[in-house]
Amino acid sequence: MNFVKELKVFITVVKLSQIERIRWMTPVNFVCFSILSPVFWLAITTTIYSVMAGGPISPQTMINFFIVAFLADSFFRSILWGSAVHLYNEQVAGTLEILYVSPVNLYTWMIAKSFSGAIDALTSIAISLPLAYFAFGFTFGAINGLTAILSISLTLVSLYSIGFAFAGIGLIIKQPWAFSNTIQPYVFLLSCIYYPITILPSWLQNVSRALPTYYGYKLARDALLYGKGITDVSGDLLYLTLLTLICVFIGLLSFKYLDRLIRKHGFLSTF
Amino acid sequence: MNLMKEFRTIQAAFVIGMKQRFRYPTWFLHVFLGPFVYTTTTILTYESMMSPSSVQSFSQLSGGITDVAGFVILGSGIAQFWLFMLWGTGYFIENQRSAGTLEVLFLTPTNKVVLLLGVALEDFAYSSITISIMVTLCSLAFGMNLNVVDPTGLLLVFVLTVIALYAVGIFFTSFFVLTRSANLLANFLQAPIEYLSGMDFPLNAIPKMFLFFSALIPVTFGIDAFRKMSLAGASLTMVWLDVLGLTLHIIIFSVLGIWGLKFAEKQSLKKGDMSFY
Amino acid sequence: MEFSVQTFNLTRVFETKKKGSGFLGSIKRKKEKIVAADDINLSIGKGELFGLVGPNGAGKTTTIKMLCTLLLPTSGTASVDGHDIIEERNKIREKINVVLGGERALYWRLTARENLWAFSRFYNIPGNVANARIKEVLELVELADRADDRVERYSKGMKQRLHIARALLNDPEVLFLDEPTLGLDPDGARKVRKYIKTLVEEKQVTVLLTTHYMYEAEEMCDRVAIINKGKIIALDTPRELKKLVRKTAVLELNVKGIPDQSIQVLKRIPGVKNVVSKGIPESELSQLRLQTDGKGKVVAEVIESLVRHRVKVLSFQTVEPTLEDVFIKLVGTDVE
Repeated sequence: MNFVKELKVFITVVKLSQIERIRWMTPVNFVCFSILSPVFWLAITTTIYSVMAGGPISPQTMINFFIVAFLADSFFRSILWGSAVHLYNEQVAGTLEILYVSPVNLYTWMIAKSFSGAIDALTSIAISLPLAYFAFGFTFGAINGLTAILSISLTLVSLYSIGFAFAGIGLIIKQPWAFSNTIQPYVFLLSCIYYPITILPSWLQNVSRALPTYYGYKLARDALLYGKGITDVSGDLLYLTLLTLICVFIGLLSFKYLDRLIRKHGFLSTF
Repeated sequence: MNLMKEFRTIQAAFVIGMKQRFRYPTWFLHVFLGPFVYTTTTILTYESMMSPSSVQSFSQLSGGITDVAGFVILGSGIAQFWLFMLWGTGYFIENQRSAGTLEVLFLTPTNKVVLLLGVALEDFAYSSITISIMVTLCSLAFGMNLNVVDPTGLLLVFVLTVIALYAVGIFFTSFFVLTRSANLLANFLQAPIEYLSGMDFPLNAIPKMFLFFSALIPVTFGIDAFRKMSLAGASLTMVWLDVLGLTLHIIIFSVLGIWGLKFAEKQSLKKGDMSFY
Repeated sequence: MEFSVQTFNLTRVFETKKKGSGFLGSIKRKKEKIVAADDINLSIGKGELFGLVGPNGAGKTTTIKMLCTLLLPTSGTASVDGHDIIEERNKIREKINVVLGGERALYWRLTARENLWAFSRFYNIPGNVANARIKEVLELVELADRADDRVERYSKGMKQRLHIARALLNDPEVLFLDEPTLGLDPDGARKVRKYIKTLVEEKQVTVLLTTHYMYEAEEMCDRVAIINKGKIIALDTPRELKKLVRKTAVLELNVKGIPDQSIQVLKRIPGVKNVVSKGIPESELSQLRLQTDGKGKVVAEVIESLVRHRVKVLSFQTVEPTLEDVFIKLVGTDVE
């Protein structure tokens, strides 16, 4: 593998994606999607917590609980859901075959696309954070930066890998949006963005604990609300590492197989 | 008006819409499990805060409803109708444009409003299937304590809500075409409408200054009336304000929708942008 | 004579915004008007096969779109089968059909039969009639054995044939074909031309066909209009149009390794009216087509010039002038 070449491809794809994004980001789009949309999505869930005030858990505790996951979700969503549609979007634009024919490493291309999405997520978080503070009273608790960086990085790697599989599936089923929209509720349900895992029946809790996203959100909370150090969360971190390795293996293998299937059945140009 | 001709148009729009939806095996996941899982997540969000005092707090805001799961299930059901309408009927012309079939469709001597009615009917049929499955599964999982004293009135409210939704859908079709920002608007509108219409929580929980905007959304009245008549034992006369709101919306959006569609077609013919995507 | 299509000073102007130069130019865009169709006057008789030929961007598709009611003219009027294109759109749509071609304009997830069924309903064709008609058109375009395959599996040629099948469903009185053989292989193109001729001969359908293949227009059309930059520059039967180049002798040469300056030199030889060069991709070979005044000395001077420039002449022949030569004479450049 020629790393310099891959780096050049990576930088080029990120650059192009950002140019496209900047051209799309008119003032109206910025206000709608970067400010108003996050406010409303936050408002929906925080209102649910507020409506159920008076119980042993204060709404503000749950609001903080949720918002940390919401911010982390900005990263995770761009990678996981973005992966399913990147190749499909090329297909619809008619550029997928050209991409396949070029000597570009598709894995590098997909990682670069998802990385560009992650940059957008950072922008989104930068705007959502003050909104969350002023509109919904969100505050971080004790913060442990190292735990946060490590857990989010591991989750990102696992999601990048699963994203490869999603990309292939998206091309085969020709409805990646439907696929994303169908999988998304399960991820929300099982990753416990809105509620602690104890709410789920025990058999479902076991399923949650097999998802990297569950650990992504949980460890983000541990790091940013409760200030837990690496030793405090070593068990979860170890398990997340193991999951990440499995995801890398599955992701690479699946895309290889799906890629072959796509070219065998001529799915590259049909959408 | 040639009724047979209009029937054929509606039939064709209905059948090709359905065939395309069920053509690939992934429909199973989408129809049977997606909405159920989405609603379950909302119910569990409520359950994370559940206690007798929190239910009391909820009841005060919801007009006496204590069945939280039922409240969410019904709101979610109407929300799903809204979403399917937005991305189905509302997005129809943009879908045709991106598929490249808009020009050949407009070349046919069909009445475009009737064509959209066919699309709306297909949308409604598909939504009904998925939402019925969702309501059944959620009711079995979480229970729903129905308290219906006026079933005929409830049916009327449901019919009015659906008609209002699809009148908005036809309006959105032309609105999206005229603004050439279908994807952007459809994506953006989801969150504000979900918030302002009280799909997931009692409307009394939102700041009073937003209620004016809530009143501009037809589904707000539908959800409110439907919940009261299903869970709180309200009769039709008790939700007369909601019924009035729905009726007004039907009239306004139908007129705007039909006029908007004719105007949008004329603009497209003027600009020649039917094939641009 | 009864006219199926008539246009009166039909004009279409598009407004675009062009990015200017410099910093201010990049923010403020200049409005630019593009006259795509300029005072088009046509009268097409019933049962006539009429060709509209011209290079890319000449205004062919714009003209067809106006006539089939997909585009409003900026000025002027037109009628199709006696109905005004602006005020009586739906009446026109019942009687016409259009092949716009391309990979799209079909429902990919549906089969050919399902696509045709849908459009038969949109054209208000009763069920039993529609079934017979679908069978008939599928056989005509030789897709009957693939009728139940999804369109996403079709080749380009098959999709084009399905477009034609769709266009024939409602038994149109006027058929608009926008470059119907574009992108087809020779056999596919031949079949399409055959269908079109059959329609005109057997069913007296009026056909307005646009193409930039001159030989196609020459072979098929009763009359041809040559359009360039939105204007009709000639209109007559192919035979009469070729009289414009009657005194022209056409030399066709296959050469190797010809630089651009040699072509400019050839143009300056007395007696040479026009030179068109078509390069063969991935090779040094080119085909030259020279319009000359037919005098004997010209051929010798051309060959001498080429040899002097060390261009290898592989073959040459004198050919009869074609419609393409008419076009080159009128427009001064190759049709492509």
